[in-house]
Amino acid sequence: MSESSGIAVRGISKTFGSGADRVQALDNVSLDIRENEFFTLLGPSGCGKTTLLRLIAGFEQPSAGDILLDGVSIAHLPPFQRPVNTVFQSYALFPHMTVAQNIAFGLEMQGMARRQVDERVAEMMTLVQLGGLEARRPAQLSGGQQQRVALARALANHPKVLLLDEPLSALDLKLRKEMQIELKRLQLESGITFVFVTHDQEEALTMSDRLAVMSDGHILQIGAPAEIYEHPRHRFVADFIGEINLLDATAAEPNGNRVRYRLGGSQTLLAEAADAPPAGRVSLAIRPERASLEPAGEEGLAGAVESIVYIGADTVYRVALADGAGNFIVRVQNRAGARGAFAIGDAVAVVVPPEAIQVLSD
Amino acid sequence: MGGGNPLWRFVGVRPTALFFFVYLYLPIIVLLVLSFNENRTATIWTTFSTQWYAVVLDNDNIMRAARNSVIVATSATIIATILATLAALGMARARFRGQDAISATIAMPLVVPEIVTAVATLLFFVLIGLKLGLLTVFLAHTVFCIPFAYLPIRARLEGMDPALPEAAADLYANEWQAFRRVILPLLWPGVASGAMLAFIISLDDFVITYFVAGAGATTLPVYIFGMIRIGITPEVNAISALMLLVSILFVSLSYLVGRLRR
Repeated sequence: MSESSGIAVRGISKTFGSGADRVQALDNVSLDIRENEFFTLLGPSGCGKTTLLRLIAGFEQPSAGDILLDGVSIAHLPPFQRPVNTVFQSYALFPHMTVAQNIAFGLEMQGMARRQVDERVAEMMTLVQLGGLEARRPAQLSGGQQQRVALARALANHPKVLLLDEPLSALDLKLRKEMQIELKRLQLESGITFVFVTHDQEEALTMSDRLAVMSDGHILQIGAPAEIYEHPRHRFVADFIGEINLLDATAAEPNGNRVRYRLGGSQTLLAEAADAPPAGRVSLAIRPERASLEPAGEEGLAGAVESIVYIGADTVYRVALADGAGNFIVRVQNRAGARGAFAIGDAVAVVVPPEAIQVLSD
Repeated sequence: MGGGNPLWRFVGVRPTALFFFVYLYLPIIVLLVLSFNENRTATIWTTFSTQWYAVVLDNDNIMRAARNSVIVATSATIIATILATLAALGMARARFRGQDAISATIAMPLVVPEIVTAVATLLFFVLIGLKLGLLTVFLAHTVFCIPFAYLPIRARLEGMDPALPEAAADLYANEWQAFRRVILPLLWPGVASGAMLAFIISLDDFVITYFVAGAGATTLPVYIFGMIRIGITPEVNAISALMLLVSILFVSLSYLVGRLRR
């Protein structure tokens, strides 16, 4: 992979409106998306992820900054001159055209010969498993089928980059899971760079090679799913992705290559000091499945079981920590004999291994 | 009438509705019936006859007025519909300062008293030295037809997924290709609906036409008005019935076309 392949977003800002209605949708965002990568823009609604996608597609013009595709600036090209295609959230299938005409549209606009167009359409119908539905209108298709037509229509052009704007949000859960696998398969088979926008953190984690977590017009963190999940660098990222315990704490004293943090009262926790800020107020982020429950008296955070929820593979305990240090969620796998070890009201110790603690400065 | 309609719970719904429809349509029904009256005096019924229709279709002056009406309505409709389509596309395309004001201005002729428009238009034509004739009628009609053509087209555009033109552009269609291949085919029911409305409004107009029509540019409504001044004759009933038929035809068509592929 050469330096310049893929998408390079350089210092992009985008504002909408003016005066009192001025909205800063993106604020000096930079980002590199590698060739053949499944890249996800993840964030809550209004974070700017769709605006960034629309800037890459060419539906919006940046207020500042540049977008490069394989080293060449595309920021000021109209959408019909960019080698990228989009799968819209509403699918945006042309209602007055058949499925085959929809898929052929982009090829015809590029001036491809009739025979080749027909071949490519047939190929696409097979790829998205819609054989036999060529003559249907979009209104005669189910949501899942419309989704496949939208994909086929975009992929038929063999774009360098496929942009997907929350394409699965209108599907029911079962179909969504199927399409997630399907999308991943299409991406691997086609070797096309996918840029996928979603607010669904689970979807982002399961599908992406890498993802960017966005909030309020900024990119907070970019990384592989495991890296984002296990080593969130911001309170927002930790909170947005998966379930997590966030405890307010202050650094007490260093202890070798570890630091002891004070939570409140006599409660303390020992954390790896490697990338920990040495002093001041911090948040300790701990995934529920990384902690364990032991009988009271063990080395750990003292508390009492407040609630127990059995959810099949795991049991989730909610522990009220002593000295007003807050609540702590512990997720315990239901191995043989593990169930029923604790009851509501039991005094317990929450044991957290030092390497399971992510220290976040606020 | 099924018992399912929740309206029937209210006392007096049926008589009120009945009164309303009678009030609205009784005069028209009387006119229709009398147009088939054999008697020379329009208001005294004798026996059924279609002779007055034959008399109307045989009258050169009436036919000339009808021809003028159709010429004006057709040409005004075409120009007004094109302008209305362009305006609707422009208004749907971008958000800009003063957009609401422009929107209101386009719809203004709907609320300005017609007599005011008529006097103003006449004054203007005299001022710029335009000779009154079919041309002036056509110009005046084009203006007041625009809002009637504009509203259905705009409504159709507003119901369109804004991602559709974007999808066309994304699939390598330039502006013109996107318009011709995607926007226009989806817009045409609105365009047709607006055109038919404009046509009927032009065909029926009296006040403005009466002011700006010169000699030889008499349209059907103006001619009917001239006949009435002499007295209500059975011919007037027959022409009116014919115009009503054309109007109903076009309004129904406009409604049906507007509902196409919603």
